[in-house]
Amino acid sequence: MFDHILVRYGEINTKGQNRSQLERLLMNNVQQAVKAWEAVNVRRISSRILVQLNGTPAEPVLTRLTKVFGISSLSPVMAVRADVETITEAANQLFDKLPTVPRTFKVEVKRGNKRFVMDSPTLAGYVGEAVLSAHAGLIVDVHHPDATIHIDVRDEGAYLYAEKVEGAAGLPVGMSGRVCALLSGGIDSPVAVWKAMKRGLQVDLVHFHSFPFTSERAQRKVEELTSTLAEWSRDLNLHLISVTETQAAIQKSCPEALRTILLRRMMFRICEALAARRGWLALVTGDSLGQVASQTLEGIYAVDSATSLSVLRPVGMEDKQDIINVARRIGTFETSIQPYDDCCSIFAPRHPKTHPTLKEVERAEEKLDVQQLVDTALHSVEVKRISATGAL
Amino acid sequence: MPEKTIYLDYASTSPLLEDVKQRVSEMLDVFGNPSSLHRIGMAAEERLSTARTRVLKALGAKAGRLVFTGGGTEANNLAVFGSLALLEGRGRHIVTTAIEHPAVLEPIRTLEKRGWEVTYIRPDGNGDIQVNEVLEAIRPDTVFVSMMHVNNETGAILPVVEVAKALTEYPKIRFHVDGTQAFGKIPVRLADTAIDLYTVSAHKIGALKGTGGLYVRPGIKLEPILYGGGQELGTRSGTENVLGADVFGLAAEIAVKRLEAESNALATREWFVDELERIPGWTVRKPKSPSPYIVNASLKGLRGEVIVHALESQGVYVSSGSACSTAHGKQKRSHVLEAMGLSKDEVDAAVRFSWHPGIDREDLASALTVVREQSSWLRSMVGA
Repeated sequence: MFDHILVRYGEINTKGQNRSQLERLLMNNVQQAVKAWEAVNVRRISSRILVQLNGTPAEPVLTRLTKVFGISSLSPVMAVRADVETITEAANQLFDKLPTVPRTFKVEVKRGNKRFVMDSPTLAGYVGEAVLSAHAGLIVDVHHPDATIHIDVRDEGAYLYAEKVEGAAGLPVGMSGRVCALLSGGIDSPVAVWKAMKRGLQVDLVHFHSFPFTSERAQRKVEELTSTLAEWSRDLNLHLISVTETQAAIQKSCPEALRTILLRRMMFRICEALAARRGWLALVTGDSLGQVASQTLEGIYAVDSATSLSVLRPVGMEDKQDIINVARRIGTFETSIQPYDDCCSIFAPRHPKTHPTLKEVERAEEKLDVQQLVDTALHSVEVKRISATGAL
Repeated sequence: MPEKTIYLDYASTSPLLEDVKQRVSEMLDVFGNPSSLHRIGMAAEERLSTARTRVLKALGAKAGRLVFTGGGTEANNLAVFGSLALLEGRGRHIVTTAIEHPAVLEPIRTLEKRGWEVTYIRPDGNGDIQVNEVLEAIRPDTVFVSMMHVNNETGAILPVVEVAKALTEYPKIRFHVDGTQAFGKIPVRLADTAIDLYTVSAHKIGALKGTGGLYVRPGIKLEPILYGGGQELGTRSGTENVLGADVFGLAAEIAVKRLEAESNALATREWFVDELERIPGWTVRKPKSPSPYIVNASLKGLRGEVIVHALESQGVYVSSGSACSTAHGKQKRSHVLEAMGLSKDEVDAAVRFSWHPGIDREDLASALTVVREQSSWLRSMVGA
């Protein structure tokens, strides 16, 4: 019954200068999101995007579009012949299709076609009357209606919609630049990535493993998480990098209590070594202040000192439960709690240092051939391009 | 990627035999239901009965039935539940070993929860089970004894023939043997023993998964665990898996021929064990009478799972004695190695090498080279 989906965008409306560029970006992201449906067409109309379904069912397309950042709301739209009876019938149909039964409603008419037989208030009154008489107990409320039936009469026909579905909000992915995010496979990092995407960042993912001390199943889990995250973006680049040699070197020559901090410093250095080539302007991590030993302020300071890149921590100030709630909502939680990740705790310190000083960390690091270890890790880089879960 | 794959995990499952692959494609047109009265049904029925004869022959059985099942696990469940439903009037005590496969242990534990008494015979430090310990556990109310023929983790051959002989003095005791790891790997001659029930599985010998069978000695009755159309002489309802049974029969025949041609399997195993023990850090389990095709060993200071991944990165596929993380997210240690009294570290470090009759010694030698290289690298990584 629906022929179009009307896409509204919020926040980017408010940005003056680059607005047309941003609209193009959102258009592009919308086009990418629906590219699997061949019949679907996307075009821009004044301050809106109109997705023409051309026979494709509305439901799956709508669901897909609720995961495109930068969209504030969406409405499935009916297109009918511009005559009074057809419009009235369509309005009733639309009303019956609403997900919740409204107690109050109003009809709002916009009339681009001035030759149409009725003027706007007359048409609104006529259609409202018809809907009222078809639905017992319903009343009109022009100020705070539960539902509004919008009718847009144009030369080529009339467009009607009533339902308004919330969009993902945020900024179009790509608007804020490109970053690299560390994806561990735990609960926090996918949420951090999601939040980064929501603020318009194009995110490349990096997963560090220590095969054979970690299993290929752990890698598959990270690929699965990436695939879930790709639903909110375009296809994602996942970099798989081995830090086995680094971990072994740290284990051999550095104090046990500092192992985690030292490893994370090495991870940041490895990312930085790739940053220029990949166009990464910052690092994103899933650290949350105080959650584990390396996520104290001292730990964060010691780790961040290893890189000149900005380090963004989207979930840095959030409670675990809030992070879990988001993880559940975006569909990464169930994958994250698969057990493979902590399979090999062989290198993890039993009593990690919670308040390391930069000095002692740097002293411990003197025993490592940092450059050589970074180079070894860079040799192991494997990049996978990963599409959204259930992509057609 | 390594150029060559050396698969040494035959005790988990085996690749399909070439003859089996060929036969599968031929059999795809034999679609009939063996119970149908028409010619198409009869053609299927013929295949099924030929397969039955072949498997029985491979078991060295002169009489008795073979009930096709959906695999070894089902055959074991049928042996346990199908027997005990009929025996409980005579007594409620079971004797088994602590090193049985879960497909036997779990059904028996279920009965234990229902009030049956069970004696679990423990192995010695090498994984061997002593005949006299089994016999000493027998009580006046014992009605069922279940033992595996070859242990799936250590390769230990259990003294089932001796136990069967001794049990002839206890006519009311029923004796089940889980032969999943023995069938096609070591000679089995059921006609010469007093074994009442014997479990076999198809996918361990190059046929398809989802097919197995339970040998039933003449005069032994079983209560079904699946009710329905009364197929398999009323013991196992469900339209028969004709394709699975047919290629099982073929694979069984081939396995026996191969076994007869095999002359120095034990010598090959001994050589493999010697070579493995020479590699620093390795300890090998040594049952007195081992299957020639299974070796269980540990590399000190490393988890089995890590060894599995390190070897697979070089094309050698083995399995770890215990999984560090299972589907349920729990640590699961090998109950077999624990029963043998191994330390937690030894159990965690265990891996199993398993191969098939007629393996090329060259392949084992190449695998050992990989083991040598990877062990030394792994040990240097963990500072051993």
